[in-house]
Amino acid sequence: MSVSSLLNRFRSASAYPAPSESLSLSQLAPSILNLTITDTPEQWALYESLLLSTLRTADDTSARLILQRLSDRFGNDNARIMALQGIYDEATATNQSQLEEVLKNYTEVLKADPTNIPIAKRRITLLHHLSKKSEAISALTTLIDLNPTDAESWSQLAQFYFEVSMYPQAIYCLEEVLLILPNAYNVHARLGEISFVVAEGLNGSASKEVVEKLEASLRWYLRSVELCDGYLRGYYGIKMVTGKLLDSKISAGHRTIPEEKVNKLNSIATVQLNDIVAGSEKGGKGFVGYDSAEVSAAKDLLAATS
Amino acid sequence: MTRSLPSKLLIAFSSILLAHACYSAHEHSLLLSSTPSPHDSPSATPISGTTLPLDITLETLISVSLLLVGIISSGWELKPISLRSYAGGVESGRILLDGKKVAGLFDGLEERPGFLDVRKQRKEFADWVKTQG
Repeated sequence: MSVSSLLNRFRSASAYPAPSESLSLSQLAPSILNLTITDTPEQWALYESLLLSTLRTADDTSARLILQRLSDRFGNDNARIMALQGIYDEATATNQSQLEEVLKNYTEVLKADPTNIPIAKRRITLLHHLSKKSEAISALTTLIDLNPTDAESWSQLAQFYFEVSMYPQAIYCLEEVLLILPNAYNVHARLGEISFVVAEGLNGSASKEVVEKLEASLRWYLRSVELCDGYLRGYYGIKMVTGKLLDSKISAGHRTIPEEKVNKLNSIATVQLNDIVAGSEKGGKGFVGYDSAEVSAAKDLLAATS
Repeated sequence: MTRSLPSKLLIAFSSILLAHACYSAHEHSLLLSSTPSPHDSPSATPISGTTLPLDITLETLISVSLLLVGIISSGWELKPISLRSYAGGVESGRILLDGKKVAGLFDGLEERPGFLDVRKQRKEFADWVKTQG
Protein backbone atom coordinates (compact mmCIF):
# COMPACT_ATOMS: atom_id res chain seq x y z
CA MET A 1 0.00 0.00 0.00
CA SER A 2 1.18 3.51 -0.75
CA VAL A 3 1.62 6.28 1.81
CA SER A 4 -1.42 8.20 0.60
CA SER A 5 -3.77 5.22 0.74
CA LEU A 6 -2.49 4.35 4.21
CA LEU A 7 -3.01 7.95 5.27
CA ASN A 8 -6.59 7.91 3.97
CA ARG A 9 -7.15 4.77 6.01
CA PHE A 10 -6.07 6.62 9.16
CA ARG A 11 -7.98 9.77 8.27
CA SER A 12 -11.24 7.89 7.81
CA ALA A 13 -10.93 6.59 11.38
CA SER A 14 -12.10 8.94 14.12
CA ALA A 15 -9.94 10.19 16.98
CA TYR A 16 -11.92 7.79 19.17
CA PRO A 17 -11.85 4.56 17.16
CA ALA A 18 -13.50 1.37 18.33
CA PRO A 19 -11.00 -1.06 19.92
CA SER A 20 -11.11 -3.43 16.95
CA GLU A 21 -10.39 -0.50 14.63
CA SER A 22 -7.49 0.62 16.84
CA LEU A 23 -6.06 -2.87 16.68
CA SER A 24 -6.19 -3.11 12.90
CA LEU A 25 -4.65 0.37 12.55
CA SER A 26 -1.91 -0.46 15.02
CA GLN A 27 -1.11 -3.67 13.17
CA LEU A 28 -0.14 -1.59 10.14
CA ALA A 29 2.91 -0.42 12.12
CA PRO A 30 5.53 -2.86 10.70
CA SER A 31 4.52 -2.21 7.09
CA ILE A 32 4.59 1.57 7.60
CA LEU A 33 7.90 1.54 9.45
CA ASN A 34 9.47 -0.58 6.70
CA LEU A 35 8.60 1.94 3.99
CA THR A 36 11.57 4.04 2.94
CA ILE A 37 11.48 7.49 4.50
CA THR A 38 10.72 9.92 1.68
CA ASP A 39 10.44 13.00 3.92
CA THR A 40 7.05 14.05 2.52
CA PRO A 41 4.41 15.78 4.67
CA GLU A 42 2.09 12.79 4.10
CA GLN A 43 4.60 10.36 5.54
CA TRP A 44 5.08 12.38 8.73
CA ALA A 45 1.32 12.84 9.12
CA LEU A 46 1.06 9.07 8.79
CA TYR A 47 3.76 8.59 11.46
CA GLU A 48 1.89 10.91 13.81
CA SER A 49 -1.41 9.03 13.40
CA LEU A 50 0.35 5.70 13.74
CA LEU A 51 2.05 6.82 16.95
CA LEU A 52 -1.34 7.51 18.54
CA SER A 53 -2.71 4.17 17.33
CA THR A 54 0.23 2.19 18.69
CA LEU A 55 -0.07 3.96 22.04
CA ARG A 56 -3.77 3.10 22.21
CA THR A 57 -2.98 -0.57 21.73
CA ALA A 58 0.05 -0.47 24.07
CA ASP A 59 2.54 -1.31 21.31
CA ASP A 60 5.15 0.80 23.08
CA THR A 61 8.19 -0.52 21.17
CA SER A 62 6.81 0.68 17.84
CA ALA A 63 5.69 3.93 19.46
CA ARG A 64 9.22 4.55 20.77
CA LEU A 65 10.70 3.96 17.30
CA ILE A 66 8.17 6.26 15.59
CA LEU A 67 8.75 9.00 18.13
CA GLN A 68 12.52 8.62 17.68
CA ARG A 69 12.24 9.07 13.91
CA LEU A 70 9.93 12.07 14.32
CA SER A 71 12.21 13.81 16.77
CA ASP A 72 15.30 13.02 14.65
CA ARG A 73 13.60 14.82 11.80
CA PHE A 74 11.96 17.78 13.57
CA GLY A 75 14.06 18.18 16.71
CA ASN A 76 13.14 17.77 20.35
CA ASP A 77 12.18 21.40 20.87
CA ASN A 78 9.44 21.43 18.24
CA ALA A 79 6.13 22.15 20.03
CA ARG A 80 4.28 19.40 18.24
CA ILE A 81 6.99 16.81 18.89
CA MET A 82 7.06 17.88 22.54
CA ALA A 83 3.32 17.22 22.76
CA LEU A 84 3.74 13.79 21.12
CA GLN A 85 6.58 13.01 23.52
CA GLY A 86 4.22 14.07 26.33
CA ILE A 87 1.48 11.76 25.07
CA TYR A 88 4.02 8.92 25.00
CA ASP A 89 5.11 9.68 28.58
CA GLU A 90 1.52 9.87 29.78
CA ALA A 91 0.62 6.61 28.10
CA THR A 92 3.60 4.68 29.42
CA ALA A 93 3.54 6.06 32.97
CA THR A 94 2.86 3.14 35.29
CA ASN A 95 1.88 4.92 38.49
CA GLN A 96 0.48 8.14 39.87
CA SER A 97 3.85 9.67 40.79
CA GLN A 98 5.17 9.24 37.25
CA LEU A 99 2.08 11.05 35.97
CA GLU A 100 2.65 13.85 38.45
CA GLU A 101 6.21 14.02 37.12
CA VAL A 102 4.92 14.43 33.54
CA LEU A 103 2.58 17.15 34.77
CA LYS A 104 5.48 18.95 36.44
CA ASN A 105 7.43 18.79 33.17
CA TYR A 106 4.52 20.40 31.34
CA THR A 107 4.28 23.17 33.90
CA GLU A 108 8.01 23.88 33.56
CA VAL A 109 7.85 23.98 29.76
CA LEU A 110 4.93 26.41 29.99
CA LYS A 111 6.79 28.59 32.47
CA ALA A 112 9.58 28.98 29.91
CA ASP A 113 7.20 29.44 26.98
CA PRO A 114 3.54 30.18 27.86
CA THR A 115 2.57 30.18 24.16
CA ASN A 116 3.37 26.50 23.62
CA ILE A 117 -0.23 25.64 22.74
CA PRO A 118 0.15 21.85 22.20
CA ILE A 119 1.81 21.43 25.60
CA ALA A 120 -0.80 23.67 27.25
CA LYS A 121 -3.48 21.38 25.85
CA ARG A 122 -1.63 18.30 27.10
CA ARG A 123 -1.38 19.79 30.58
CA ILE A 124 -5.10 20.58 30.64
CA THR A 125 -5.97 17.07 29.51
CA LEU A 126 -3.72 15.52 32.12
CA LEU A 127 -5.18 17.73 34.87
CA HIS A 128 -8.64 16.61 33.82
CA HIS A 129 -7.52 13.00 33.73
CA LEU A 130 -6.18 13.34 37.28
CA SER A 131 -9.69 14.52 38.30
CA LYS A 132 -8.49 18.07 38.95
CA LYS A 133 -11.48 19.44 37.06
CA SER A 134 -11.55 22.98 38.39
CA GLU A 135 -7.81 23.38 37.78
CA ALA A 136 -8.30 22.08 34.24
CA ILE A 137 -11.09 24.60 33.64
CA SER A 138 -9.08 27.54 34.94
CA ALA A 139 -6.02 26.47 32.89
CA LEU A 140 -8.22 26.22 29.82
CA THR A 141 -9.74 29.68 30.36
CA THR A 142 -6.20 31.07 30.58
CA LEU A 143 -5.34 29.34 27.32
CA ILE A 144 -8.46 30.81 25.69
CA ASP A 145 -7.49 34.29 26.90
CA LEU A 146 -4.21 33.73 25.11
CA ASN A 147 -5.75 32.28 21.96
CA PRO A 148 -9.44 33.21 21.73
CA THR A 149 -9.98 32.07 18.14
CA ASP A 150 -9.24 28.39 18.76
CA ALA A 151 -12.57 26.63 18.29
CA GLU A 152 -11.18 23.35 19.65
CA SER A 153 -10.39 24.95 23.02
CA TRP A 154 -13.82 26.57 23.29
CA SER A 155 -15.44 23.26 22.47
CA GLN A 156 -13.34 21.45 25.08
CA LEU A 157 -14.22 24.08 27.68
CA ALA A 158 -17.91 23.54 26.88
CA GLN A 159 -17.40 19.82 27.51
CA PHE A 160 -15.69 20.49 30.87
CA TYR A 161 -18.49 22.83 31.96
CA PHE A 162 -21.07 20.30 30.81
CA GLU A 163 -19.44 17.60 32.92
CA VAL A 164 -19.76 19.73 36.06
CA SER A 165 -23.38 20.66 35.16
CA MET A 166 -22.61 24.33 34.47
CA TYR A 167 -24.92 24.39 31.47
CA PRO A 168 -25.24 28.16 30.81
CA GLN A 169 -21.44 28.38 30.63
CA ALA A 170 -21.28 25.36 28.32
CA ILE A 171 -23.87 26.95 26.02
CA TYR A 172 -21.91 30.20 26.01
CA CYS A 173 -18.71 28.37 24.99
CA LEU A 174 -20.42 26.54 22.15
CA GLU A 175 -21.91 29.81 20.92
CA GLU A 176 -18.34 31.13 20.80
CA VAL A 177 -17.45 28.12 18.63
CA LEU A 178 -20.29 29.09 16.30
CA LEU A 179 -18.90 32.61 16.02
CA ILE A 180 -15.68 31.07 14.71
CA LEU A 181 -17.29 28.30 12.62
CA PRO A 182 -20.90 29.31 11.90
CA ASN A 183 -21.57 26.22 9.73
CA ALA A 184 -20.64 23.61 12.33
CA TYR A 185 -23.87 21.63 12.20
CA ASN A 186 -22.75 19.16 14.87
CA VAL A 187 -22.19 22.03 17.31
CA HIS A 188 -25.73 23.25 16.60
CA ALA A 189 -27.00 19.77 17.42
CA ARG A 190 -24.86 19.73 20.58
CA LEU A 191 -26.42 23.04 21.67
CA GLY A 192 -29.83 21.50 21.06
CA GLU A 193 -28.87 18.55 23.25
CA ILE A 194 -27.57 20.74 26.08
CA SER A 195 -30.68 22.96 25.99
CA PHE A 196 -32.79 19.81 26.14
CA VAL A 197 -30.83 18.53 29.14
CA VAL A 198 -31.36 21.90 30.84
CA ALA A 199 -35.11 21.74 30.18
CA GLU A 200 -35.25 18.20 31.56
CA GLY A 201 -33.39 19.23 34.70
CA LEU A 202 -35.69 22.13 35.61
CA ASN A 203 -38.31 21.40 38.17
CA GLY A 204 -41.95 22.12 37.41
CA SER A 205 -42.22 20.31 34.11
CA ALA A 206 -44.76 22.72 32.59
CA SER A 207 -43.34 26.09 33.58
CA LYS A 208 -42.62 28.91 31.18
CA GLU A 209 -38.88 28.37 31.54
CA VAL A 210 -39.08 24.74 30.45
CA VAL A 211 -41.02 25.70 27.33
CA GLU A 212 -38.45 28.39 26.57
CA LYS A 213 -35.57 25.93 26.84
CA LEU A 214 -37.36 23.31 24.74
CA GLU A 215 -38.07 25.85 22.04
CA ALA A 216 -34.45 27.02 22.10
CA SER A 217 -33.39 23.40 21.75
CA LEU A 218 -35.80 22.92 18.82
CA ARG A 219 -34.35 25.97 17.06
CA TRP A 220 -30.78 24.66 17.42
CA TYR A 221 -31.78 21.27 16.05
CA LEU A 222 -33.65 22.87 13.14
CA ARG A 223 -30.58 24.86 12.20
CA SER A 224 -28.45 21.71 12.29
CA VAL A 225 -30.67 19.91 9.77
CA GLU A 226 -30.81 23.07 7.69
CA LEU A 227 -27.02 22.95 7.45
CA CYS A 228 -26.82 19.19 6.89
CA ASP A 229 -29.30 17.29 4.79
CA GLY A 230 -30.55 14.04 6.37
CA TYR A 231 -28.67 14.60 9.66
CA LEU A 232 -29.80 11.72 11.84
CA ARG A 233 -28.78 13.40 15.10
CA GLY A 234 -30.69 16.57 14.20
CA TYR A 235 -33.90 14.80 13.19
CA TYR A 236 -33.73 12.61 16.28
CA GLY A 237 -33.57 15.77 18.39
CA ILE A 238 -36.44 17.44 16.52
CA LYS A 239 -38.61 14.38 17.00
CA MET A 240 -37.80 14.20 20.69
CA VAL A 241 -38.24 17.92 21.45
CA THR A 242 -41.46 18.31 19.46
CA GLY A 243 -42.77 15.23 21.25
CA LYS A 244 -42.11 16.98 24.58
CA LEU A 245 -43.64 20.24 23.38
CA LEU A 246 -46.80 18.46 22.26
CA ASP A 247 -47.12 16.86 25.68
CA SER A 248 -50.52 17.75 27.12
CA LYS A 249 -48.92 18.99 30.34
CA ILE A 250 -47.45 21.99 28.58
CA SER A 251 -49.89 24.86 28.47
CA ALA A 252 -50.30 26.54 25.10
CA GLY A 253 -49.97 29.99 26.62
CA HIS A 254 -46.24 29.63 27.18
CA ARG A 255 -45.50 28.64 23.62
CA THR A 256 -44.16 31.06 21.05
CA ILE A 257 -44.07 28.51 18.22
CA PRO A 258 -47.65 27.69 17.11
CA GLU A 259 -48.89 24.18 17.75
CA GLU A 260 -49.60 23.27 14.13
CA LYS A 261 -46.01 24.15 13.23
CA VAL A 262 -44.68 21.90 15.98
CA ASN A 263 -46.99 19.15 14.76
CA LYS A 264 -45.73 19.55 11.22
CA LEU A 265 -42.09 19.48 12.32
CA ASN A 266 -42.78 16.34 14.31
CA SER A 267 -44.24 14.57 11.30
CA ILE A 268 -41.38 15.73 9.03
CA ALA A 269 -38.85 14.37 11.51
CA THR A 270 -40.79 11.09 11.70
CA VAL A 271 -40.77 10.72 7.92
CA GLN A 272 -37.02 11.46 7.73
CA LEU A 273 -36.15 9.06 10.55
CA ASN A 274 -38.30 6.35 8.98
CA ASP A 275 -36.46 6.81 5.69
CA ILE A 276 -33.07 6.59 7.37
CA VAL A 277 -33.97 3.53 9.46
CA ALA A 278 -35.53 1.71 6.51
CA GLY A 279 -32.61 2.60 4.22
CA SER A 280 -29.96 1.52 6.73
CA GLU A 281 -31.68 -1.77 7.46
CA LYS A 282 -31.81 -2.61 3.79
CA GLY A 283 -28.16 -1.59 3.55
CA GLY A 284 -29.02 0.96 0.86
CA LYS A 285 -26.17 2.55 -1.05
CA GLY A 286 -26.73 6.06 0.28
CA PHE A 287 -27.08 4.98 3.92
CA VAL A 288 -23.80 3.28 4.81
CA GLY A 289 -22.52 6.34 6.67
CA TYR A 290 -25.01 6.16 9.51
CA ASP A 291 -23.79 4.74 12.78
CA SER A 292 -25.66 1.50 13.56
CA ALA A 293 -26.10 2.42 17.24
CA GLU A 294 -27.65 5.76 16.26
CA VAL A 295 -29.95 4.07 13.77
CA SER A 296 -31.20 1.58 16.35
CA ALA A 297 -31.76 4.43 18.83
CA ALA A 298 -33.84 6.20 16.17
CA LYS A 299 -35.78 3.00 15.63
CA ASP A 300 -36.51 2.73 19.34
CA LEU A 301 -37.68 6.35 19.45
CA LEU A 302 -40.01 5.77 16.51
CA ALA A 303 -41.38 2.61 18.11
CA ALA A 304 -41.91 4.41 21.44
CA THR A 305 -43.88 7.30 19.94
CA SER A 306 -45.98 5.56 17.32
CA MET B 1 -20.68 8.54 -15.84
CA THR B 2 -23.63 6.87 -17.51
CA ARG B 3 -25.14 8.61 -20.49
CA SER B 4 -28.83 8.33 -21.28
CA LEU B 5 -29.90 7.17 -24.73
CA PRO B 6 -31.54 10.44 -25.96
CA SER B 7 -28.45 12.46 -25.10
CA LYS B 8 -26.22 9.85 -26.78
CA LEU B 9 -28.30 10.16 -29.94
CA LEU B 10 -28.21 13.96 -29.69
CA ILE B 11 -24.41 13.94 -29.33
CA ALA B 12 -24.04 11.57 -32.30
CA PHE B 13 -26.39 13.58 -34.48
CA SER B 14 -24.83 16.95 -33.70
CA SER B 15 -21.31 15.58 -34.17
CA ILE B 16 -22.24 14.41 -37.68
CA LEU B 17 -23.79 17.81 -38.35
CA LEU B 18 -20.66 19.58 -37.13
CA ALA B 19 -18.42 17.35 -39.25
CA HIS B 20 -20.63 18.03 -42.23
CA ALA B 21 -20.41 21.78 -41.64
CA CYS B 22 -16.60 21.57 -41.49
CA TYR B 23 -16.50 19.51 -44.67
CA SER B 24 -18.81 21.98 -46.44
CA ALA B 25 -16.66 24.93 -45.40
CA HIS B 26 -13.55 23.14 -46.65
CA GLU B 27 -15.19 22.32 -49.99
CA HIS B 28 -16.41 25.89 -50.30
CA SER B 29 -12.92 27.29 -49.92
CA LEU B 30 -11.55 24.78 -52.48
CA LEU B 31 -14.27 25.77 -54.90
CA LEU B 32 -13.33 29.44 -54.64
CA SER B 33 -9.60 28.94 -55.13
CA SER B 34 -10.00 26.58 -58.12
CA THR B 35 -12.42 28.73 -60.13
CA PRO B 36 -10.65 31.66 -61.82
CA SER B 37 -12.37 34.92 -61.23
CA PRO B 38 -13.95 36.29 -64.40
CA HIS B 39 -12.67 39.84 -63.98
CA ASP B 40 -9.00 39.90 -63.08
CA SER B 41 -8.93 43.31 -61.49
CA PRO B 42 -8.37 44.26 -57.84
CA SER B 43 -11.53 46.37 -57.70
CA ALA B 44 -13.75 43.39 -58.54
CA THR B 45 -12.82 41.11 -55.60
CA PRO B 46 -16.14 39.38 -54.86
CA ILE B 47 -17.45 39.73 -51.32
CA SER B 48 -18.91 36.22 -51.50
CA GLY B 49 -15.37 34.86 -51.84
CA THR B 50 -14.37 35.97 -48.33
CA THR B 51 -17.53 34.98 -46.43
CA LEU B 52 -19.09 31.56 -46.04
CA PRO B 53 -22.61 31.00 -47.24
CA LEU B 54 -25.25 31.56 -44.57
CA ASP B 55 -26.38 27.91 -44.46
CA ILE B 56 -22.92 26.63 -43.49
CA THR B 57 -22.61 29.25 -40.71
CA LEU B 58 -26.04 28.33 -39.38
CA GLU B 59 -25.29 24.63 -39.56
CA THR B 60 -22.09 25.14 -37.55
CA LEU B 61 -23.77 27.22 -34.89
CA ILE B 62 -26.75 24.89 -34.53
CA SER B 63 -24.61 21.74 -34.41
CA VAL B 64 -22.33 23.21 -31.72
CA SER B 65 -25.34 24.31 -29.62
CA LEU B 66 -26.95 20.87 -29.95
CA LEU B 67 -23.66 19.19 -29.04
CA LEU B 68 -23.39 21.32 -25.89
CA VAL B 69 -26.98 20.53 -24.91
CA GLY B 70 -26.29 16.85 -25.51
CA ILE B 71 -23.16 16.81 -23.35
CA ILE B 72 -24.70 18.84 -20.54
CA SER B 73 -27.85 16.72 -20.37
CA SER B 74 -25.98 13.43 -20.48
CA GLY B 75 -26.44 12.54 -16.82
CA TRP B 76 -23.30 13.82 -15.12
CA GLU B 77 -23.09 13.28 -11.44
CA LEU B 78 -22.65 16.88 -10.44
CA LYS B 79 -20.47 17.60 -7.42
CA PRO B 80 -22.40 19.14 -4.53
CA ILE B 81 -21.71 22.84 -4.21
CA SER B 82 -23.88 23.61 -1.19
CA LEU B 83 -22.73 22.74 2.32
CA ARG B 84 -26.13 21.23 3.05
CA SER B 85 -25.94 18.57 0.36
CA TYR B 86 -22.20 17.89 0.79
CA ALA B 87 -22.48 17.53 4.57
CA GLY B 88 -25.60 15.40 4.11
CA GLY B 89 -23.71 13.18 1.66
CA VAL B 90 -20.84 12.77 4.09
CA GLU B 91 -23.12 11.94 7.04
CA SER B 92 -25.30 9.50 5.12
CA GLY B 93 -22.41 7.85 3.26
CA ARG B 94 -23.47 8.90 -0.25
CA ILE B 95 -20.03 10.49 -0.60
CA LEU B 96 -17.27 7.96 0.04
CA LEU B 97 -13.50 8.00 -0.25
CA ASP B 98 -11.96 4.66 -1.28
CA GLY B 99 -15.23 3.02 -0.22
CA LYS B 100 -14.84 4.38 3.32
CA LYS B 101 -16.78 6.99 5.18
CA VAL B 102 -15.27 10.47 4.98
CA ALA B 103 -14.73 12.16 8.33
CA GLY B 104 -17.37 14.84 8.94
CA LEU B 105 -16.36 18.44 8.27
CA PHE B 106 -16.56 19.51 11.89
CA ASP B 107 -15.86 16.21 13.66
CA GLY B 108 -12.67 17.71 15.03
CA LEU B 109 -14.73 20.01 17.25
CA GLU B 110 -16.20 17.03 19.05
CA GLU B 111 -13.19 14.72 18.93
CA ARG B 112 -10.64 17.42 19.80
CA PRO B 113 -7.39 15.60 18.96
CA GLY B 114 -5.38 18.25 20.85
CA PHE B 115 -7.02 17.16 24.09
CA LEU B 116 -6.70 13.43 23.45
CA ASP B 117 -6.90 11.49 26.72
CA VAL B 118 -4.55 8.69 25.74
CA ARG B 119 -4.61 6.87 29.08
CA LYS B 120 -8.37 6.54 28.98
CA GLN B 121 -8.26 5.11 25.45
CA ARG B 122 -5.48 2.75 26.44
CA LYS B 123 -7.51 1.48 29.36
CA GLU B 124 -10.59 1.02 27.17
CA PHE B 125 -8.50 -0.98 24.72
CA ALA B 126 -7.02 -3.15 27.48
CA ASP B 127 -10.52 -3.84 28.82
CA TRP B 128 -11.68 -4.78 25.34
CA VAL B 129 -8.77 -7.18 24.90
CA LYS B 130 -9.73 -8.89 28.16
CA THR B 131 -13.32 -9.41 26.96
CA GLN B 132 -11.97 -10.96 23.75
CA GLY B 133 -10.26 -13.66 25.83
